[in-house]
Amino acid sequence: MERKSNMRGTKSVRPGSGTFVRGAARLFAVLVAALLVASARTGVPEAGEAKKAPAKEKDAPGGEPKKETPKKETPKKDAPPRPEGGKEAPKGEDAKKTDEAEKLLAEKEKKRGPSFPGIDPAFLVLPRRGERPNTAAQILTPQVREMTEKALDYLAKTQGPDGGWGDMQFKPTNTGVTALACLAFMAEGSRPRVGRFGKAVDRGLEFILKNVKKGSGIIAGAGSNELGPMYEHALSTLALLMASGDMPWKSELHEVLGNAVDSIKKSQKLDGGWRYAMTNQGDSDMSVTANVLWVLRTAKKCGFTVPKDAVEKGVKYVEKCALPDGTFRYRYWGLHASPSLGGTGIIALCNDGSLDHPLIGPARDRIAYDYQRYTIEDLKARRYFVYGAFYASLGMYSCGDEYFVPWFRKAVAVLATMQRKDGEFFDEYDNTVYPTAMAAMILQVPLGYLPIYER
Amino acid sequence: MKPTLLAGQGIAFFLLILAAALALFYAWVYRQEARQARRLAPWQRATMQTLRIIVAVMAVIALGRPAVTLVRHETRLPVVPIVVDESVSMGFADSRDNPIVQANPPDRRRRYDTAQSVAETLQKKLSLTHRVKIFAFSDGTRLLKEIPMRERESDPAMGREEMFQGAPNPTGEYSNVGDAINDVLRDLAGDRISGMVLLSDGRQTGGIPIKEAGAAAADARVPVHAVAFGTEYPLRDLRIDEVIADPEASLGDVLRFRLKIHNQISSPLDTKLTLLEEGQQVNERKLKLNRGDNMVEIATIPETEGTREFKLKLPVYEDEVDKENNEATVHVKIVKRTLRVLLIAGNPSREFLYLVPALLRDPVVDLSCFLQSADIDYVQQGNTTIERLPRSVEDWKKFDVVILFDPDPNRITTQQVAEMETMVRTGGGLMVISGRNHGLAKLIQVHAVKVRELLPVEIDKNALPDHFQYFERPFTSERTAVGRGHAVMRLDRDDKTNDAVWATFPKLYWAHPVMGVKSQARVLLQKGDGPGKGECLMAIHRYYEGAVFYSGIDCLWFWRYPSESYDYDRFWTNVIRYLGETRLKGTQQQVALSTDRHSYSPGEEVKITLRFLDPALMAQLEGQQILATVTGAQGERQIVPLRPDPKGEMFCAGSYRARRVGSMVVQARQAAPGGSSEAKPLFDVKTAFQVKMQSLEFRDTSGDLDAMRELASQTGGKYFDYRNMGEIEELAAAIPPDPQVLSKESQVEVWDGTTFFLLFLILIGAEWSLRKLWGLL
Repeated sequence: MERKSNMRGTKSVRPGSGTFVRGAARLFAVLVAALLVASARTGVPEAGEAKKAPAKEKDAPGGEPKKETPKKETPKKDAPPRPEGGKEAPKGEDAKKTDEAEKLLAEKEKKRGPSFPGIDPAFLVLPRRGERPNTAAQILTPQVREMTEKALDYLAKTQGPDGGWGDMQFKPTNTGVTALACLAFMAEGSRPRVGRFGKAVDRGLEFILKNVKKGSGIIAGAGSNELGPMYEHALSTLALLMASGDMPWKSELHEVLGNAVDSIKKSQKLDGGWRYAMTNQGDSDMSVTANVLWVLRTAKKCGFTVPKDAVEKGVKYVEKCALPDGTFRYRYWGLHASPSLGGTGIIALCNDGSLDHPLIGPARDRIAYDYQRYTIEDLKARRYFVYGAFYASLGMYSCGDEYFVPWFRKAVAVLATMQRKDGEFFDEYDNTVYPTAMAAMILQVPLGYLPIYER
Repeated sequence: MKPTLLAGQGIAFFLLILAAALALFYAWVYRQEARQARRLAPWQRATMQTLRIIVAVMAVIALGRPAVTLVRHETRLPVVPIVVDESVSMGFADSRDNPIVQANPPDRRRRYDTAQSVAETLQKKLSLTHRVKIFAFSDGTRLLKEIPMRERESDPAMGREEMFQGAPNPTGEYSNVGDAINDVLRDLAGDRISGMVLLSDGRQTGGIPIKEAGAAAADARVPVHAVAFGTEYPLRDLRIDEVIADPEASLGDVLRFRLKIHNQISSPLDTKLTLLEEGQQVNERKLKLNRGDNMVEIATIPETEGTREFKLKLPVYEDEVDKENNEATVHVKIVKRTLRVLLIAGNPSREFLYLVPALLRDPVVDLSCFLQSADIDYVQQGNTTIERLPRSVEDWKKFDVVILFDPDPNRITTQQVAEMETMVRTGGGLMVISGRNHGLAKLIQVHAVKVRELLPVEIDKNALPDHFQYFERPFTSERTAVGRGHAVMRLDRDDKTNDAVWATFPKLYWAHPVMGVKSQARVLLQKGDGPGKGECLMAIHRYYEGAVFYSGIDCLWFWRYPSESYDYDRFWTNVIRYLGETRLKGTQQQVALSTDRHSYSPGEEVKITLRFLDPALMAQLEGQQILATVTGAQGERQIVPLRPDPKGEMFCAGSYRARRVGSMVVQARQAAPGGSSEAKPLFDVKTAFQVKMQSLEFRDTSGDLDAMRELASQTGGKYFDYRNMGEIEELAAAIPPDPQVLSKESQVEVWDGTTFFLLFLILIGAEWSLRKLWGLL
């Protein structure tokens, strides 16, 4: 979403055609990364600087980050079930009467762990719950609801006359930002032409469809990132995939999506990943690759053929970017890890078919640790905090309530300090729409209405 | 002494006439003797007249039979009969809360032992002031012992062994309490009864009613002091009355055991239930049991194929009347089987994205997805991947349940729809979920006949989806009365929690329009408000041997809040198992056959009830004759017609008169109306009961404390039970020692004696002698 520099803070390098150009680009990138490391030491605390963190929460553990394990916050067993809208289910005895058979199955499945059934599976199947959880109702507090309402209202107000949304850096309207806004409304439960924000979703998706480039299948309009439209394309594809079963009046939708998936496949680079430019030339980056892998698996769920090897190569690229301490580098040859990439790492690795990938545990623990250790101000001061939190929400949600709930509470606490009067969230470039859309999705995770959040 | 006339008042008139006659006679005599009498001196005449008058008066008096009454008084001690129940129910253990029981050694804690202690205590006190008689009763009453009176407290009292020498143990087959009271009252009719002490558990099994006997005692002014043994609860016992488990279960799936546990230990009782498979503990559950019957469930996941022995055990408690009924054994055949589910979806809607993982999570479901809009070379999802839709009846029959999720009618042939209908007709399940993409109208337009037949609802074939309409007005969904009780809609075992869960589901925005519901279909969910309030959202009906479920909602994922996939998954699990039950278990399990008891005496009526768990099944069998067959141990059979409940409850009932002793099996087997084969029933359920000779004494082991209390109240006596039996000595003090005073009257006839006779003779003789002397003769 950034015009002049990419989101991980390293200067983007346009792919050259020759070896010399690629080598020079790499050298340049290394130098930029080194400079950034130096700047990070005087600014926002990065993951590798945990010891030097300027402020710590009172209960935060000290010492090396990777040795720390986050506190597990498990829901109280006897907590009142299912409060919602002032209603409370019967307490005490009733709460204990959970079907024992369900518990048994849950225990058995828990032992088995997540599964990915089928010949070419798209659906990640997590073990069923043994007891009726009430964490969603617990964490969806009135404050969270109010924040969400304000954020959604802001998005509704900022929709352009063409149905799209733009942002400070993505003017006048941008398919990627529009896709995120549509997804935020879908997370509320709206569908195209159905629900509170049915009209807004419908108009937003119409805008995205109007920006499909004939021939290439790329979904990106005028306000796209000048480095390349992959973010816009991937997010637009994702939004359309999420709505593809609910837009029967768009007979061309399947073809559009098919072409969009094909263009992604064609853009896979030789190193296995993807980047801004939609060509197979040049190097990849971890952030775009993770996004694309996520879209590809969603496409597979929705009936589009996605070659296995494309996904495998992409996942291998992500593996190369991973560091043993649970962090990910923006590019595999990078020197330093970026704290915002933890969530993208998890969702990228999940797309290979399992939650027991050896790199997921450390990544999950790292995110949990960071959110536990750093203060609200520290987290808020991070670059692209909302962006990073959005991907972290996807990853942490898949890892279960014991990780997600404490993470969510802290994330909400940070977001609460970031929301402005009109309901919008912002980033350091004063973009307000895409951060608001991402924040709205984070805040609505407990509703469980958006299938990009998997359990 | 009291004078009286024995001849009675009626003779007075006769005596007057006689006196008049005598006066006339004497007047005539004097007239005859007038001349001779003139020579007599006046005193002589006066003497003669006096004598004659006296004799006449005496004669008249004699005729009146004068007598005197003599009264004699005698003082005797009052009687206290202690009437002891010697029926076998008195052999049951007495209440542990009874202080007398606590004082007895552990081997003497029967009700009868307590009664003996009470009798001994009472007689020790009463034998100083009363005549104490010990009676024992069961089907008759007999005098056991008359307790000799003691002058002083220091005199040795009779011991209980001696007292109960004639009845050391309770062996009577009946408890005729009323008869016993009457018998004792009759036996002691001549005695003053200060009070009757009745020692019994009050559980009457024959004879005249206790109330009637109480009334007789009240009339006789005999207070009956009731001392009740046992408690108002049956004997301490924890038993497994019934274990309900499927005879066959799937390997790797949940095997549930539903137990009926009868708790007579305490209320509540914290205990644990252990489940063992082939001797190995596989589950344990902590229970909190109320007094009486409790339904409990325990489950396991069998991991080994074959016929397995499962033992369900409850701990054994002290003083339990039966320590062998705390465990039960069942044998279940574990087989490897799954429910093959085919999901045919037109488009990858959001519901589809949530539904597929929900079905994949179910361990019994073997899912095959067929997404019609998918790429040609797309590898379809599911546990078992298919490349195309089934193309023959045999192919369709490989699936147990088919889900048609807003299918594109042009991508499924009429032949395939017909084959699918055959699959459902022969026991398969079908779920039809309507959606906004294609709608059911289009499906009916293309595949009119079969789809119309299959659907439980009527759809307007011209009402094609209006894709340009916005749906922004939410509506609530509410369960119908049928839906509230239906297994499919049960998201929690507890009714209250289930209602609370349903109350939390958010409002919806879109539902497929429905024209009506077929007569044999049952609506489970409907619109709760807004336009089209009451319109069907979900309905079911039985289709020959199979079943069809209709859902007019394509966004059940709204139910994912607030419990994520928990309730959502459970709903789908319920639906799939309901639809696939016939295939999974051979027959429908939506019926439960039961008898009102498990054991009967010959001649008793056995009530057989066939309860329908599925209203759609009940509707399907409307107008059909439902029969149960009772088969005895010798193979003799009797058909019992089961008739629908007149109040419309979901059961059919019939009765059978138990005749022969032995085990009897009841079977209800029903073919589907218009079903393919009699050999493949719609349901086939069995239950068993015992007919045996059994003492009425064992039927209810609780004491009838209310009857005893009422008897005491009715007759003005005192009442004691385990709560206050420690104060039993107060009873002895409360029985009045007033002696019995006997008065005897005797009558002596005054005229009928020697004195009277001699006086009469002397006077007659004197008169005659004086007449002779004075020359009147």
